[in-house]
Amino acid sequence: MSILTIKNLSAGYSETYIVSNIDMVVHENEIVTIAGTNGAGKSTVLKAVMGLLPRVEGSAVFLGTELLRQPTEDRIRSGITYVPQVANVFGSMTVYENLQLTGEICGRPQGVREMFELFPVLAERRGTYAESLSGGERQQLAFARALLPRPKLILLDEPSAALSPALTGQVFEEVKRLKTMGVAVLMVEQRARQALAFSDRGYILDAGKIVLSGTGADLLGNEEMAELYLGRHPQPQTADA
Amino acid sequence: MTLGAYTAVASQAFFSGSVLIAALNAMVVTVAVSLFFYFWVFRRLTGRSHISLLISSIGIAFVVRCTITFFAGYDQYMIQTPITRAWNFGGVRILPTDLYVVAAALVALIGAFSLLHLTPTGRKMRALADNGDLAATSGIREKSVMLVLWMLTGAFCGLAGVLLGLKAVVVPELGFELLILMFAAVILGGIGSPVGAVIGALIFGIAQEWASLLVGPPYKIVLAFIVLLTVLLLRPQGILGRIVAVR
Ligand SMILES: Nc1ncnc2c1ncn2[C@@H]1O[C@H](COP(=O)(O)OP(=O)(O)OP(=O)(O)O)[C@@H](O)[C@H]1O
Ligand SMILES: [Mg+2]
Repeated sequence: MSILTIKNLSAGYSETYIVSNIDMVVHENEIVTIAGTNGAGKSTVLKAVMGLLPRVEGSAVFLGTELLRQPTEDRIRSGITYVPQVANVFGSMTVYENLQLTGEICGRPQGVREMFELFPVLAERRGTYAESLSGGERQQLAFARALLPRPKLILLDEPSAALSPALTGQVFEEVKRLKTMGVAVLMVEQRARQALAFSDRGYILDAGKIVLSGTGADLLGNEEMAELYLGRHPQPQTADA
Repeated sequence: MTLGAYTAVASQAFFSGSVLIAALNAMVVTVAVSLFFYFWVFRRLTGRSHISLLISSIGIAFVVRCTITFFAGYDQYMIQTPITRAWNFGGVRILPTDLYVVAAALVALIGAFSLLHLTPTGRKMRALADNGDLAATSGIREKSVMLVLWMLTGAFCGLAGVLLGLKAVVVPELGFELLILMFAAVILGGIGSPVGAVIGALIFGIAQEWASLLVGPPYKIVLAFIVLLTVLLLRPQGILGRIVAVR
């Protein structure tokens, strides 16, 4: 069953659209990856779904309701959360305060304890200011903040950005764990080969348009296209993935 | 602040002599005026640079000041306080009024910090100040938080005006010479850090008073600004400020 259906979506920051005529579907409990070159408009698609862009046209139906005319708070309440590409935690607040705040916003204060059980590292560092967390810990806090409101769908913008290859593997394990918890994931990834390897399906974006879509295996199997859009050689870290 | 002091004077003149009631009235009026300017001006400036906000607030300060002058003229007023004898603490004589002023300031300070750290609204304010975009994508409704923030700003300004008016003659320029000093204190402490602002203000105030002992009152500000320059040369982000990375 599809939970998010995007039809004919065009979006941008001003008069000109950055992405246009996007059609995308996310099914229940599925990991879907959006790949593509820098500046292709991958982040723009996620921002449009979240309601963060001044100019949006088309439709995005989530669990039967049209999202595009709702304010961001309502989209979160209906079950979508979003982890932005950069600055995805409040640096001047402690780990505990970051989660406490999230719990207060969505009315689930008990979620803080649940997240400490799911992410024991965070429980250990509860008093630490988020700005002094390591890259991996910070990403765990960002995931916990996204998971706490019990969403049906999490949008992740380049969860592996600025992480070492070893930590990338760890973060991807966390993404797979989200799936086992029954959450669907729509994820933008720069490390596309590695991400598509564990994704159910994928879309490849170029210059604001979808140029290719299919199952993760299909996209990786299409050698010609994969070389064109996913880089010439498989990245070394895919060896252990 | 100036408005707070004037409201206190007016309240004493028209309603009752009680300083407490005067202060409460002053706060009610400054909250109302603060909200008025939020809806009229600042709400439309969200997302603009710090500079445009700063210039607008200086402009609004002029508007408020001139409006006061229009109604009250340039006459000097006083906030009436009951005449009391100084208390003697082992040779150090302190007026009870001064103690009340200090106590009220401390209570306000503690109140502000508990609010920021111990209440959900306070946490939302800190989140908004930390990263407005992330706050929006986390589902914080900026408008309702800003509304509370501006009410608080108004209340604290009103209170500050009354406290200042208790110690000084109430004229339209009240607080104006303090404005520059307050900016300096905030910069010294680190912009965006409430604790920093308090520490900055304390250092600045104490440096000034020491300086007047050493070089005489007319030059005390000079010495205080030398302290400011020295600190900023060593720590450009201020004492507790965070370096904002330029991307
Ligand atoms: N805040 C903004 N205002 C105006 N234009 C923007 C803004 N952010 C991004 N853009 C433009 O939108 C286009 C697509 O940006 P987007 O962030 O969606 O790309 P991306 O595919 O996520 O790239 P990357 O891999 O670098 O994150 C870019 O050309 C960029 O210049
Ligand atoms: Mg991006």
